[in-house]
Amino acid sequence: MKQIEMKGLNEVIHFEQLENGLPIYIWVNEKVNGFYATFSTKFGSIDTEFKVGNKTIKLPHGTAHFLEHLKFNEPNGKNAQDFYQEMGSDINAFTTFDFTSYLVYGTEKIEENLKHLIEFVLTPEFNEKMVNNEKGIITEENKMDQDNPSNKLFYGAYQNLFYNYNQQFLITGTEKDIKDTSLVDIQNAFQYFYHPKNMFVVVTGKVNPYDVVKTISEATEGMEFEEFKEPKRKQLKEPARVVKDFELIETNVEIPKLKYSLKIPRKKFNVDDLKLRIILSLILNCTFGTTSDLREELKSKNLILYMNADRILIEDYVIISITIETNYPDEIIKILDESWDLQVNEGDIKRKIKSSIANMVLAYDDITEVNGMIQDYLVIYDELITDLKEIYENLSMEEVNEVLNKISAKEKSIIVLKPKK
Amino acid sequence: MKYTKFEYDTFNIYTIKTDKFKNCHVEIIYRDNVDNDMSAKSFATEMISYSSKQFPTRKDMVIRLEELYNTYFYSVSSKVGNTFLSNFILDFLDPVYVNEPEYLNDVFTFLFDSIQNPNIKDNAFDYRSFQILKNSLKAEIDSLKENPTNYSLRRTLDELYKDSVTSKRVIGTIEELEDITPESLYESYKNIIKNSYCDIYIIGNLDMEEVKKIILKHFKNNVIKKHQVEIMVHNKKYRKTNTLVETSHFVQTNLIMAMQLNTLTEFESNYVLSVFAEIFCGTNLNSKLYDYLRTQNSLCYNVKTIYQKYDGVMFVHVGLDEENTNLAINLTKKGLKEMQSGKFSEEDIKNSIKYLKFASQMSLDNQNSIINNYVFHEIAGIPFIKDRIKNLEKVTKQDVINLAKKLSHIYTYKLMGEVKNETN
Repeated sequence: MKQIEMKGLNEVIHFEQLENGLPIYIWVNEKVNGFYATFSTKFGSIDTEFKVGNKTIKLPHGTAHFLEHLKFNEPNGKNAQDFYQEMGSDINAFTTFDFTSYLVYGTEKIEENLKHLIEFVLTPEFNEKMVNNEKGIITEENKMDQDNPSNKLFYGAYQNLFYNYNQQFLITGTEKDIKDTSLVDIQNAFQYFYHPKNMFVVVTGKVNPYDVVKTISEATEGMEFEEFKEPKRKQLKEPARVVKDFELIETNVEIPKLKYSLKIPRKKFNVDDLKLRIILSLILNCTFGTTSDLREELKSKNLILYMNADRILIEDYVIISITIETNYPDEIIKILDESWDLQVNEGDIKRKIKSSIANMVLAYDDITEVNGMIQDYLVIYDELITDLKEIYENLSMEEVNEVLNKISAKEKSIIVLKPKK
Repeated sequence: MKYTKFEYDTFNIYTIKTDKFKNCHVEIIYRDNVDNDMSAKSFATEMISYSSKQFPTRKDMVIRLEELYNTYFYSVSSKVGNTFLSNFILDFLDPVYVNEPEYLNDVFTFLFDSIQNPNIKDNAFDYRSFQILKNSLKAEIDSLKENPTNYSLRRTLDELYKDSVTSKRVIGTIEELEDITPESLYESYKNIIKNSYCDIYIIGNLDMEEVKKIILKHFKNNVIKKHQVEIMVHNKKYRKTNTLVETSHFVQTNLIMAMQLNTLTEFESNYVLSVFAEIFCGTNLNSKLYDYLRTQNSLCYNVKTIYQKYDGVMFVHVGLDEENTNLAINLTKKGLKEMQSGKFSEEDIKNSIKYLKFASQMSLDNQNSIINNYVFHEIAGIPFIKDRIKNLEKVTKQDVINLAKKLSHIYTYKLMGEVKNETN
């Protein structure tokens, strides 16, 4: 078993890859009572069209999420919950744009818990009746999401930014997508994405890493896996321009909300993805965060009630978004239009770096957070990031300024939610 | 984990020494009966964690916190039954990771200074900070209507317990907020400091004797309190079930069924209630209501119970299509009847206890849960987590039936959704 050192943090992550290709990552914390195990597949809501050999497969939006719901069914009319209820453990699952994860929390019988997690996720148990029964439940989940103003703002913004990228669609799909999803879609998704070579296990907490590997190895021993043919996702071409530069929606909100987003080609930035994410976060924190002059001024003038800035890298683009709650959306848009000549000072950057390093140390207090961090590394970078602290410590102002100078508001899109009259 | 209590005339210090966490967590808690000044006290609590005399703007305060290795300072106002609590909370890195000898002293003096030297001028809170927070609170009150679940619960409480503290909102109403001035807010701040019981809770891998010395040196609380703080609310009992239907622009209909909890014994309150709730409508797909509403009839994604045991009320909430509400009401009633007649198995009891023991064990991995348990052990007599784990085993099927019989459905609130007017 390989031991991977998280440099400067005095933490080690154990790694083993089974013969069937399944990678296992384990972080041990002997001081806690519980363990947290996740079993994930790199199959998310954006995976709707792919090629396997010469065969092209198209799935309705929301298929990854639909499959996640159905996966809890087990042979003989049972569901995974029956087993975990007897174990006294807690299970759940979630789907993101990029991956689907099944999770178990427990305090006892780690071997049984883990073995069953592997078994129920890798055993297909689907039929027409199950698919039809689940449609009503997922439709209600979709409606619940529709009643959430944050979702409306988020997906509305993405629909106005992207012509082709699938991130603009709800993870559940639309009501029509849910209705259109068939047993064949579910079977296809399972067949091509639920393979050990496309999946990974992360276990954190009070566990013995050797026992964890042995248990997972034994759980998959009797299973037969076809040769893995990596699904080739359809590469979507996305124009540099935004779909709509402005949209006003009257809806169920009491306080107007707006999202002001920039769409910047990734290739403009001459730095690797990890550093780009770090530097953009530091810049946005300094310029729009709690210690920024802009926020202080807008708050003092009673122009904003809430403000948050974030960045995300989506395929060929960097998206920077400022989310604001305000009673004066028109004034705020004018101010933001004038705000893109960004400047940061070294003192602020150094202080934010110090804070980020403290957060890195504190993250290891929480088995859920460490597990989530490992999952993110594997999904985003395909490997663990072991030198994050060093990267922060060695960041130079030249690197920061280089990124800062490339931030451009040339392509922007604004969405405003206002109360219904 | 080593629990220690240091008792003094005007406040107590409760410490838990453990090497389980790299974070240290401190809470200074002021506690009193709910009174008419509650929403102003809640506002004052927020003001204290927003800025101070030494750090007069939010920006100044956050810069100082970042210098202290991203120490996190915030406040929470809450109402539990008839008790109002103002918590001032500080999370900071274990000094062992910080190469600064004064770090521990610095974080504690920051906390005490924020509480004892607020941003006051001429017997009034700083107008600028006051105005910023007033606007935020106003928005928070208004935005309640954006969340159909919270709004439905709020409307149910308003209608059921009009004249009781149970329906009073910690944050208050727009009218109450408009009446607050920087001067009156300062009076409310003094009301908290002078009239509330005060205690300090700390968890972390710290030398608690040293911590105690720092507290005694820097923290002042001079007034001895002798009045009773009562946690239970004795609400009027309903004999009939009432219904209220209101309309909305939401897509889903939100349904609340309120159930009155008649007087519970200590054992029922501490143990049986959670076993009942787990079987009736717990976190798993096999609970009665999940099974009837979601699995068997595909009516909803989520159904949940929320209980306020010190107010003697429990709610069932479900979001669903308007056309399915009558079926959901009937299935919920059926579920409750079955609980009352013992139509559930010994296996259900066993599994629920197992789950609750697991959840309790897991809560021992979380600083907030450990402190919260210590606080409510002290102020409401709830058992320590380790005792809860032991005593849950004593709950029998008959205990759960007896408790179910103390529940009666007293109110149905329905916030009707609009029919299919939006797509995504």
